[in-house]
Amino acid sequence: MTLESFGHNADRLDHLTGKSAAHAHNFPLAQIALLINPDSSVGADESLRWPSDGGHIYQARDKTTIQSELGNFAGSNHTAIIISADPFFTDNLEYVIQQANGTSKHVCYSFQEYANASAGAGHPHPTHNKHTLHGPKLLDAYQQLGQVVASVISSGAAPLQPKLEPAPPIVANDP
Amino acid sequence: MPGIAVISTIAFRTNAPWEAAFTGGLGVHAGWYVSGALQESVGFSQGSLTTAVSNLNANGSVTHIVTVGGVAAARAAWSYGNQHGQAKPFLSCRGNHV
Repeated sequence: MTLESFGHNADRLDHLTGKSAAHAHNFPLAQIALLINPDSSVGADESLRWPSDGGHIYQARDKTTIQSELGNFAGSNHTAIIISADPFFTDNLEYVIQQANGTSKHVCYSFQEYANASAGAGHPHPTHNKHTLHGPKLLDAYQQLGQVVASVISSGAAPLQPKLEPAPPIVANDP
Repeated sequence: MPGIAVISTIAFRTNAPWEAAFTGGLGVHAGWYVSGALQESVGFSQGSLTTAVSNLNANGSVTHIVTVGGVAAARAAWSYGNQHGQAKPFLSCRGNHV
């Protein structure tokens, strides 16, 4: 089964540039950047699909480069950035949020988990009114995977290729 | 009885909620999950992923392999299966083309 994560940046751009209606923003396309992991196939695909008139593609493969690249983004003329759905960033979710908050710019995260809902003392929460959560809920994806695996094994049927559609974009207005 | 084991490029159990969600999805078949065989935080290198796939193929309690955390793990299982005729079947959750 697939999250189709490589294909959803176009939807995120539509949302950030105002092409999609619900809670859309109005960032110029050239001022929207992308953060990818250059070591992954997802990052390669995202780079290929990124519009030529879009903003810069920043590249981070470890915590040091997450910090430096988001620092470069902070000092740039870009006004918003999309964080790739690459699992590397999900695995460093709190560090990414912490560094992204430091940019004081708009950040579009690819999974609902970036809300970091259980965040407490010492655990960062995306900056109020400075972020968008645009993508599926990973927790649901893992649960759905369990259901598919149980179904396939118990029935002996050939596995299907279900896709998880992205959740509606949420413009966070959290307190 | 089937035995399901997971390979994850990133954390799956340690400080992560994904294992609980996955076993919850297995429902009444949660007992099929071979907890002790988990290969988590394997990373994205072909070598480490191939080793993880090989470990699970050698584990007598495991009948099916599930890969998560990106297409790299799925590719490793795919490649291992192509090179070893008796490789165990695998299912993948991925974000990109294999």
